[in-house]
Amino acid sequence: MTLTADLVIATAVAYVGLLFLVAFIGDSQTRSKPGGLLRSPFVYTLSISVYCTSWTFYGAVGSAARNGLEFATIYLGPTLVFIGWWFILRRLVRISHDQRITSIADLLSSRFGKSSRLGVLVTVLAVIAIAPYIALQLKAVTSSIEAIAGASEYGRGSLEGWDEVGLAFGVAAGMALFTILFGTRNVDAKEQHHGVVAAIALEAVVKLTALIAVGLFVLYAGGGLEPIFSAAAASGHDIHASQTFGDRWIASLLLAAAAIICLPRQFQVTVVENSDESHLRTASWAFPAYMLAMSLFILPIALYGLSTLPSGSNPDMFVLTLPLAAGQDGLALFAFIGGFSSATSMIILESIALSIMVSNHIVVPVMLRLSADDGAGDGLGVRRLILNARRISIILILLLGFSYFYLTRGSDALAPIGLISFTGVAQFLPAILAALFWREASGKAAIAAIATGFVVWLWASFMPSFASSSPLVAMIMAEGPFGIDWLRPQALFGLDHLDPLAHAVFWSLLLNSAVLVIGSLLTSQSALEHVQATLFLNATRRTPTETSPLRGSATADDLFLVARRVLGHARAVALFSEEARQTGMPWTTLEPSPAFIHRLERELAGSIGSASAHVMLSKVVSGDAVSLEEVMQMADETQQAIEHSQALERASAQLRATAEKLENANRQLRKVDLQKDEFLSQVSHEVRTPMTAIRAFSEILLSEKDLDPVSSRRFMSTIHRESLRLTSLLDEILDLSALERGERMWEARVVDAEAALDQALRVCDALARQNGTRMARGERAGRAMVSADPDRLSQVLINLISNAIKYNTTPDPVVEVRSFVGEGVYSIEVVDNGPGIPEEERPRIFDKFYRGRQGEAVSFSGAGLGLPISREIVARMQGTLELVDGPGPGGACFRVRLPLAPAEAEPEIATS
Amino acid sequence: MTRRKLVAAAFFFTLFGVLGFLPPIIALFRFDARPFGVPVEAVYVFVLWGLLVLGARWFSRALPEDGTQAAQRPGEEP
Repeated sequence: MTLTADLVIATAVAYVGLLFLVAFIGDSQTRSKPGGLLRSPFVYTLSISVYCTSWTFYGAVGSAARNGLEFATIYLGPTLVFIGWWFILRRLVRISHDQRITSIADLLSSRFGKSSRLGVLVTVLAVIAIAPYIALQLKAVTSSIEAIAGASEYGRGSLEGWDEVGLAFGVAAGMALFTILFGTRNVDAKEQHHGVVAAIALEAVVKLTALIAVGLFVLYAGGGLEPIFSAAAASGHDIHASQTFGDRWIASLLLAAAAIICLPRQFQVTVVENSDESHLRTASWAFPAYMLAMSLFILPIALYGLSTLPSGSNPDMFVLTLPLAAGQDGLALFAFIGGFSSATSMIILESIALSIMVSNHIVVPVMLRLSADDGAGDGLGVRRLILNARRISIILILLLGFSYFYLTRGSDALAPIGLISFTGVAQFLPAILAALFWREASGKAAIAAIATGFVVWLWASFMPSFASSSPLVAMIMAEGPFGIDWLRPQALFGLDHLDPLAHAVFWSLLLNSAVLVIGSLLTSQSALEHVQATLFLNATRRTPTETSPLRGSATADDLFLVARRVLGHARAVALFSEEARQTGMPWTTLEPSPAFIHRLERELAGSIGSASAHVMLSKVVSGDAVSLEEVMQMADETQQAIEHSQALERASAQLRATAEKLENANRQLRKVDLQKDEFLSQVSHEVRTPMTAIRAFSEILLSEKDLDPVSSRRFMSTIHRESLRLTSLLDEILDLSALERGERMWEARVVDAEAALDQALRVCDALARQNGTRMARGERAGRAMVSADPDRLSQVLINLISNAIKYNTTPDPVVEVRSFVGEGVYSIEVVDNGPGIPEEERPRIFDKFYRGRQGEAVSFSGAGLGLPISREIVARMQGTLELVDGPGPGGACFRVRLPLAPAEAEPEIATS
Repeated sequence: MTRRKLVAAAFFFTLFGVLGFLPPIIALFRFDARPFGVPVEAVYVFVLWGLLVLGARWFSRALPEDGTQAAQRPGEEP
C-alpha cells in the first residue's frame, strides 16, 4: 500500500462517514429499544474515555520522551477520582439527575441559588479555557497529516499549496460542520445524545486498538522491553536520570484529577449522559483499566523512537513516524485513524457541551430578558433559537481554538498546551467541591473565587503561552509589567523556584479557595441558595426531598404554552396527557399541582438550564416573582413543627417519669397500709392477753362469794399486775407512735454520756443479781460529751442491758458493757455470752412486736417494742443503734454510736 | 462488613491510593533496579495502578446499593 496525503484525507472522511452512520443507528436504536446495548455500562465507560484525546495518543509519547514518567499523572489523577467514585462522582450524578443538570455551569448556577450571573461567568471562562485544548487537537491532526505527507514519496498531492495554518483551518471547519450535523439535530429534554455516545464509544475502541497495535509493533521491532530500555539508556535517554517526582508531578496529578470532574465534555459524558447510576460502578474500575491499557506502551514507544529515529524528530509524532520509518504503511494509516479518532471525539463532545452551556446560560436568558411578556416569539421559536445558538457557538468555539493555534503556532509540544486548559478548568474545582460538601458556601463568594482564579490563570498560565509569538508578552515575562518585578507571570510575589505549571496551579487554586472560604464566611446566602444548598447536601440521603419554590396557582393553559414553546408540541402534549391520566381529570380542568410544576421545571431545565427554566416558569406561575418569602415561611413553619414535636416529646418523657414515681409511691403506700394492719392486729393481740386474764379473774372474784382471802388476794394481785403490763404496753405504743411522727418533745443538752451509762448500769444491777448474771466491766471512755436527753439515753441503755440479762440463758451468764471514743464518735457496746440471735432473725430484730423465738420462750417478756423505740430515740440524737458481730463466738452485741458534741457547742440546744 | 465500614474502607482505599502516587512514598522507588529492563519506578507506578483497578473492581461490587433507582428520578418517563 502506498500512503499519500490524499489517501489519508479520503480515509478520514470515510471514517467520519462511518461515525455518522453509527450515530444515526445509535439514535434510532435507542428510540426503538431503550434498554439496549447502547445503554450498557461498557458503552458508558468507553464514552468516558473521550478523556484520552490526541494529547494521549500523540502527546503522551512526546511527554514521555521529554519528561519520562510524568505523562502518567494525566491518567493517574482520573484513576484516583474514579476509584473514589462513591464520594464525588456518585453525588454529582445523583444531584444532576435530581435537578436535571445539563452542564457544569448549570450545576454551579443551580447550587448557588440558580444564579444566572454565575452561569454566564462559568460558561465564558470555560469557552476561553478550552480554546488551547481544541487548538491542541487541531495541531495534532494537522501535524499527523503533515507527517504522512512529508514522508510520502508522492508529495503533498492535493495538499499542495496548503500550509500548516490553512490545513488547520480546513480541519477546524470540517470538525465544526461535523459537530453541527452530529450534535444539534434536536434539543433533547435531558441533553442526552445516545447516537453521539455510540460514535464516541466506537472511537474509543479504535484509538485503543491503534495505540496497542503500534505498541506491539514497537515491542516486536525493538526485540522486547529490555533491549528497548537499555538501548535508550545507552543513547542517553534514561528515565532514572530525570527528577520526576517533584512539584510538577504533584501539580499535574492534581490538575488531571480536577479535569476529569471539571472539563465540560467529561461532565457531559460522565454525569449528563449517564442513564443509570449503577453504570458508574462499572466505570469506576473499567475506566482506570482503559487508561492503564492506553498508557502501557507509551514508554516503550517513546524510548524506541528516541533511540532509533534521527535526532530532531518530533517525539509527539512517534506513534505515526515509527511505523512509517519501518515502511509499515497500513499500521501508520491505522495509527493516523486512531489519532484522528481521539481528536474528533474530543472536539465533537467538547463543543457540544460548551454550546449547551452557551445557549442555556447566555442566549436563552438574554432572549428571556428581551421578550417583554411571559414567553418568547411564536410557537417553535425557542427551540429553533436554541438550536441556532448552539450551531453558532460551535463555530465560535472552533474559531477560538483555531485562533489560539494560530497565535501560538511557534511552540511545538502538545502536552503543555493541554495543561494550560487543565489549569483553567481546575478553577471550577473549589466551587464544585463546596457545592457538594459545604452548606455555607455562598454564590457571591463562588463568583469572586472563580473570577480570581481565572485572572491568576490568565496571567500566570494562559498569557505566557503567547511568549513565542508576542515580544510584549516575552518582555512582561522577563521583567514584569511596567518593570514590577513581583508581578512576573511565572514568579508571582517572588516565588520563582517552582516549575511554571506548579507555580500557576499553586497561586490560582490557593487564591481561588481563599476567596471562596473567606467570601462565604463574610457574605450571606439568599433564600433560594439556602434551599438549593440543602437539596445538594441531602442528595445522597435515601429519600430525596421534593420542594418546589413555585406556587401552583398558574392555569394549565399557561403552563402548556410555555412547555410547548420549549419542549415542542409533541413532548408537551405527552407530558400533560400523562399528568391528566395520573390525576384522572380531563385536560380542560387540569389543576397543576406543585409537584407537576416542579416536574415541568425540571423538564424545562433539561432543555434550557435550571436558571432559565426557573425564571421562565416563575414569570408564568401566579404572575409574580418566586415567592421566596413563602419558601422561607414554609421553612419556618417546618422548623416550628419540629420544635413543637420536640416539646411534645419532652412533655411525654416527663409524664412517663411522673407516672413511674406515682407507681412507686403507691407501692410504698400499700406496703405501709399492710404494716399498719399488721400493727393493729398485733396490738389487739397484745392487749387481748392481759385483758382476758383480768376479765377471768374479776369474774371469779365476782361470782365466788366464799373465796378464801388468800386466793382472793392472789387473784387481785394478778389483776393488778396485768393492768400494769397493759398500761406499760399502751405507754410504749403511744411513745413509739409519737416518736415516729416526730411529736415527742424533749430537751437535748450537751451531757456526759458516760454518766447516763453509769445510771443505766446501776438500775440494772438489781436485775443482774436476781438472774445471777455477772456484769463484766469493759474498758470505758472516761468522759464523752454528746448532745442528748440524758433520761432518754438512759432508757435506751437500760433496755439494751436488761435485754442482755433477760435473754441470757447460759449457765454462767456474763454481760459486758464497754464504751470508747474514736473519729468524733462515741460508741457503747453491750455484749452478752448468751445464745445470740440466729442469722435469719437478725434483719427483723428491730421490727415492732418482734420478739424472736427466744423472746417467746422467756416467761416475762416485753411487747417487742423496746428495740424499735430505742432505735428511734438514738436516731433522733443523730446516732445509730445496730446489731453487730460480737467479739466471741456466741452472744449478741448491740452498738450505740453517737456523734460527739463540738467542744465549743452551746450547753443548751433546744430541738423539737 | 457493615455498610458504614465498607464505605470507610472505600474511602481509605482511595486515600492510600493517592498517597501511593505522591512523594515521599513514590520517591522511595528511585533506586537503581531494572526488573525486565524497566526502571523500578515505572514498574511501581504500573503495578500500583493495576492493584488499584483490581481493588476498585472489588469495591464496585461490594459497595452497597442504596436503592436509588426508584427514588432517583421520580416523574421521569421510562
